[in-house]
Amino acid sequence: MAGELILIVEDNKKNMVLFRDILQVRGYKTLEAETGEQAIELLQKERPDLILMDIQLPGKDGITVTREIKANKATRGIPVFALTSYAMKGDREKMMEAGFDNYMSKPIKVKEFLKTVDDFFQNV
Amino acid sequence: MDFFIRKRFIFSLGIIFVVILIASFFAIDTLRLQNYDGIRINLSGRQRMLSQKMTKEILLYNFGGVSKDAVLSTMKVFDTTLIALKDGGDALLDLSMTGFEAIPEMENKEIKKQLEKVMSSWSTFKQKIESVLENNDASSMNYIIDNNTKLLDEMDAAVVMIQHNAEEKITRFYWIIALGILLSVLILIVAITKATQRKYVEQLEKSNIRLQEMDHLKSVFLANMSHELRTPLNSILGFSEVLQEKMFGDLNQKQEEYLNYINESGRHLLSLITDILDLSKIEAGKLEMEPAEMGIGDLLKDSLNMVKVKALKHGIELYLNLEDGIPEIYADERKVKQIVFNLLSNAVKFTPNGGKVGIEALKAKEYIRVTVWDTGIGIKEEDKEKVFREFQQLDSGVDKRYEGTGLGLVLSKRLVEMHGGRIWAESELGKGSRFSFTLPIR
Repeated sequence: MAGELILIVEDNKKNMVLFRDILQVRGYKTLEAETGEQAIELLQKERPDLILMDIQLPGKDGITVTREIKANKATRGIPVFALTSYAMKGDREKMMEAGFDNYMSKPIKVKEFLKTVDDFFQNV
Repeated sequence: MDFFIRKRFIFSLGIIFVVILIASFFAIDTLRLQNYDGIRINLSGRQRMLSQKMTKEILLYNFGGVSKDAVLSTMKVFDTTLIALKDGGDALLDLSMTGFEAIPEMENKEIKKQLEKVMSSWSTFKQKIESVLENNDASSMNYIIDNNTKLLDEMDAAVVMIQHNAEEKITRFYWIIALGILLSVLILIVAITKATQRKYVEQLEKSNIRLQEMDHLKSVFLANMSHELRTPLNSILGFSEVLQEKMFGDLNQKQEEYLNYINESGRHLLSLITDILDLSKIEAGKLEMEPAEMGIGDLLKDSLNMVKVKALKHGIELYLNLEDGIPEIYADERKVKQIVFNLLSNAVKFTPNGGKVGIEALKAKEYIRVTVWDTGIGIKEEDKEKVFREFQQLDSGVDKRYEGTGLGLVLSKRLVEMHGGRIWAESELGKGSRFSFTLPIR
């Protein structure tokens, strides 16, 4: 709760508001991207402490975007959590391979969601 | 495809046409020879008669009964006919020597040989007749009397051979026709079978591709549905929880009560969606099994913890009875948890305030058996099977008091069966129920 910067990648505006508001209330600073492409662009100027990545996105999906983030030397070190509403056969393997650091399933439980984020920063 | 079949049929018909053409050619040729054979049979038969006639005439001539010209005329007919039969040429058709018919040389070597034999006998015979006619030679006359049967017999043999040869040709003719028909039918059958086979294979391939496409579409649809349905629920559940947590300020009692309703309904909707999607995934064969060695004890404790809050709220006591030394099993932990949780939440749901709910687990041969029991409303005997069928939440006289999807038990049954186990219910109406399932240890 030391004001870490979290990038939220989420195409649904209402869900974006939800994630943003609860994280801000908790004392985190947030960055927003509606698409994977926007997120990658943002990462050229900003260096968040954590990325929350929706999987189903318009354009490049969250798995592809994460793979790109993890393949880039400049952004490799940023932890990425998946926010997924579904795992199809083979998706889990794809996510593991893409290099996600954690998963959270949607719909989230607000308390559990915040606890996961808090715990992550406490252990860092 | 149609083009292919048409091409194949046209090709087959072409072959059939050629076969028939060849067969007819042979048949017509045989028929033509057959026509000459008819003439030959007639002529050779007449020769037989003439040989006798000549003998008779020369005898009569001796006594002055027949003229020399008559004998010579008969001889002439016999002579030309014999040459025509053997070497081909014009043959006299009648004894008045008016009609002629050209016939080909005898093509059968054996018959020709026989005819040559007749010819050599005839040339001696002819000389003898001529010397009788000119000099009335007695020794020649004796020769004719003694040898007249020789010429007859030889001629007779030739006739038999010619007849036999003609019969053979007829048989050959029938064989050619029969073979032609047979071959045509065979070609037609092969053509049809091949074409049908090909068509069938192509149809199979096509429908297989369609099925694969449909299967893929189904998977994509399931994934999309899941995403589309859960996305709004994330907002509904998330925002209601934010408000319930009073993250943005206090609420009055009514507001809190209504928020609870919103959240509960949202959770209910979520479980409905999850169950339906899980069932569809099972139906589509898309539910992945991730089996591993796992202990059942902790899983049962965790499951009990998950219903603890609700049980406490209704004053329901929870029990766990775990047999010592229960072995690990090879199963999909997440799915086993889903089964146990389904049974447990049902038990809590259908047990009145102040009741009891518990779990027992023990080893039974090569299986482990888990039983979830309760002191709830129970199930009627005739409904025990029904509860495992889709959308069959039972009324049990309590109507819609118990909220649920009616899919939990169906799903549990499928999940148990995917592991190679069995699930069943025992119950006494008004006293409680026992839902048990088995899972193979290995």
